[in-house]
Amino acid sequence: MYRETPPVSSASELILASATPVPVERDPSQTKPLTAPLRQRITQALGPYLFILPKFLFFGIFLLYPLVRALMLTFQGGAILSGLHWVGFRNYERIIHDDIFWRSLWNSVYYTVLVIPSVLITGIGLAALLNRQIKFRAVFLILLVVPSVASTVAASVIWSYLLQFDGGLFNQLLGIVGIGPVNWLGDPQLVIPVFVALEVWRGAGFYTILFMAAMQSIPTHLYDAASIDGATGWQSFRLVTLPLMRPTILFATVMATIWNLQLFDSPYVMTRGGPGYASMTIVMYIYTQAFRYDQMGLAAAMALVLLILIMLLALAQLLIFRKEIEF
Amino acid sequence: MTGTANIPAHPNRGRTIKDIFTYLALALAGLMSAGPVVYLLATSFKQTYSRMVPLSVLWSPSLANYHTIWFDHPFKQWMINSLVVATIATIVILFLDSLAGYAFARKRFRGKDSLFMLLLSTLMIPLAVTLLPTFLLANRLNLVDSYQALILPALAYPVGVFMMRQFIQTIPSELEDAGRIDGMTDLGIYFRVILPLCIPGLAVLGLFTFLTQWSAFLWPLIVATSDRSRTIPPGLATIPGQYNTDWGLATAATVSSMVPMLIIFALFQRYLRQGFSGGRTTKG
Amino acid sequence: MADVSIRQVNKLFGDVRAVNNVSLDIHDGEFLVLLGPSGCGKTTLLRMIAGLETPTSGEIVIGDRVVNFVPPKDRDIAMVFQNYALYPHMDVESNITLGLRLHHTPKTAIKERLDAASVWLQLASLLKRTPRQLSGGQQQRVALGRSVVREPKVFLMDEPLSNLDARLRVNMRTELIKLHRRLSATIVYVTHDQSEAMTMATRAAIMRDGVLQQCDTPLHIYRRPANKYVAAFMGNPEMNFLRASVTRQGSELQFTGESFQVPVPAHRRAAIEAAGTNEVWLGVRPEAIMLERPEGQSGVIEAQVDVISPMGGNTLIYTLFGEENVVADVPSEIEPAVGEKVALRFDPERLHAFDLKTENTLW
Repeated sequence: MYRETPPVSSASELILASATPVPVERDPSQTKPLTAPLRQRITQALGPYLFILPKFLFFGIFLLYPLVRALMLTFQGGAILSGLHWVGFRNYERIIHDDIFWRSLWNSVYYTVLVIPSVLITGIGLAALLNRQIKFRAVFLILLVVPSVASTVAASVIWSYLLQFDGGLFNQLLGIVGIGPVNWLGDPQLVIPVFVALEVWRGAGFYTILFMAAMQSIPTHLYDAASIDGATGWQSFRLVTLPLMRPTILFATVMATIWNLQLFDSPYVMTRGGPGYASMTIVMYIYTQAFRYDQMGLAAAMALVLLILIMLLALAQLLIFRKEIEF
Repeated sequence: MTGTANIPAHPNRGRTIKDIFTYLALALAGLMSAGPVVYLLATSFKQTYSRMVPLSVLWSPSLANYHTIWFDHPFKQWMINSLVVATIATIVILFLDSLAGYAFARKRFRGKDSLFMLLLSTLMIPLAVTLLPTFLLANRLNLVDSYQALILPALAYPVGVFMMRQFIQTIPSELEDAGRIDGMTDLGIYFRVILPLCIPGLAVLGLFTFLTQWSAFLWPLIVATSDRSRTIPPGLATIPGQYNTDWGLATAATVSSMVPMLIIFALFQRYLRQGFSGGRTTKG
Repeated sequence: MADVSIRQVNKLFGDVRAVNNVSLDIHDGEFLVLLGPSGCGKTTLLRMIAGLETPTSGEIVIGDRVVNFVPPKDRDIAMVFQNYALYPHMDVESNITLGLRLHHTPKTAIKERLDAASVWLQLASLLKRTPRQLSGGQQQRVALGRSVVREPKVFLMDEPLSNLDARLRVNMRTELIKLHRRLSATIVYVTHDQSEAMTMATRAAIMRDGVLQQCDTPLHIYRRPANKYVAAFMGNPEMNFLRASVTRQGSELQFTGESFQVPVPAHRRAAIEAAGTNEVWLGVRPEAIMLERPEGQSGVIEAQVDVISPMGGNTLIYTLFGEENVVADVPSEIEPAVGEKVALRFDPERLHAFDLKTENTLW
């Protein structure tokens, strides 16, 4: 299988080179640079595109095209069946003067402003607790994650049931301690905080896991150093844990902002935007205009406003906390 | 070295108090999380039109609601639709996104950065913006109330591409070199080297995609106009009525809708823990 | 087995010239070590031989054909990587045989080669394990096994020993030497460790910033370095360098530094005069310095002992004179005291001189 060793050339070669690089000399006998055969060049250049083509196909048809079409829609009026026609900026004028539009926008923003600190504090708090040396960690985690497994609609049905004025579990429990029944979904002041609670309940598991992962990536020797420096548990949490979690917190905040400004599912199922318009969110209103009143153009214009709002908020958050970003 | 117990307990003093507080707080949180679900479960086992359901129902469970929901109700069709849509969408997305993620992670080609930026820039776009024109498109293609309408738009989301790209970057490029020397083609490297090593990342992506598709509400609400293609969320939303709701039925449906997700979660939960730390390959 | 020819190869990454006009002929059956610090271009050169990179200009020839655009799998090469690059999800046997299977090698041949390799590399008991379950040394043997069964024309190795602990590394060195002999293989081996080059190479090619500095047997490089960089790179501890001018003293030529003077050896006069420069780096290896009692003799440098490092069989003595530091490597019987004055005599046969500006050797 293997040949015998041929003798290694005994003449040694001494190639002297200067320490500084020499400029490239073209050997006159070799004027034509070597290039790869055409077929190989084509496959090498085009190959990678084949990998991204399938994804970009769907991306183009179902994301990019609708995006452009939506922009066009904002300048169109009319109904689907009877046909759409150009109306210039009229849709935008209408929404500026639409009280319900502004109310819906406000509701969405109000909801988001309440939700984000709630889920962050809950998630970080629970993660901190679960990160301690405790038993049954897995059990607690499972309990926390169970609501996340329910779809938003399922969660909404569950809470509809619990929040019933007449005999729902919450009011039953209140009754036990002697407090009168609360009209959770019928009180304009309460309805949005109720949805906040629902989202905290449903999202706790996810946020907790996210923050637990972030905490676990902090090297323990930093805590050792902190305790040698005399930090108490709470201080090392504040001075070591939280700062090192900033990128994750930023990520969660931006994602949560984008996600929660688009709230639709729970108010649709539970209150249909009521009482009055107290829980009408912007996406609900867009849906209503588009599919109940057949005002596609108007709805598209509202959606565009929402888009701009979201982008502004997200970009603002990213800019303010720019130094935390790592790709 | 990273650890699970990052908050150092002070030796002895105050330790037990902290621990008691911790267990109490967690127990309370656990109760508040799972309690409603338990109550939900209990209700579903009671044949009821009434609104009040004390916990004593557990003594005499009845499967009547489940019987109704599965045999006398469109729910079964909704379940099938949800399963089909979520499964197909997940599998296809796993392929699309890992192929693209691999290309962005490892290959050189012109316009790579711009194309990537393009994907990135759409992350913040709210669903409401694209849904309307997508509906018009589905309408024009006569795909309203079909599986295609439910599955195809979901394939466009770029989130998975970022995830997979991130993950694949942790795979040592030497493995691809070795593969090339061994004789693999580009696609061969993808199937033999990249894909097997992506399994934890794919599991996480698959889990989240399945969950998203399973609980998708707005789009199916718009485009699944009959029980033929209706998935569970829009279906479930029709059950609680304006005035009189059969809560037994509603809760049975809700519980049934959670079961597949619970099963999948249980099966793949170990990948969740791995998935967060990126790819793991042999240290050699 | 085959020759490998590298002909005026350049490699640019954007504006960075990683490999600068390198030409090198690797002979059939050689163990050629590409040596240099990180970033010197040695790995890039190896990858171009492998086909994992394409030269910007120049030719890579394996055997008798130009392989610039031949894909790695068709070049009949095998490669061992620094991190072994074993497929983590396949067992050892699959790792080793995958290349053969992809090249449509008949099953009987695969089995034969696998068995032979398992025997010499002691892999038989590991065949069903996965890389995760192996130690570093075992993984390395599997990586070797994978390349050996391919029976390639050329073996390429990219710092395969650097991930092993010191003792294992030394053992593996001898294993590799035996492998080379046994297979009569042509091996191109990349490392930054000059002691590896000294022990294993039939020839070593030293690179710096993409430029080939010298290619010769290790011993020749050691004794006749082409420039100051090579002289400093090879040998541990490093060669001593002293700035000096060539001055005339009567009929004698002297190397005169700030705080010392040594005579130019007679047989080097001609080279000095031909060089046409007066400013040089004088180079002398620690083992070429002898210690004498300072008794006013000529041709020596008076110095003071600063630090003594006994190594067992020999001792390193760090000395000071003026602003210069010189380390001498002497037999351990010589035991001066710290602070003691000694006379340093440079062996005239083992003296080196390098042009101050170009740093090339003068002889």
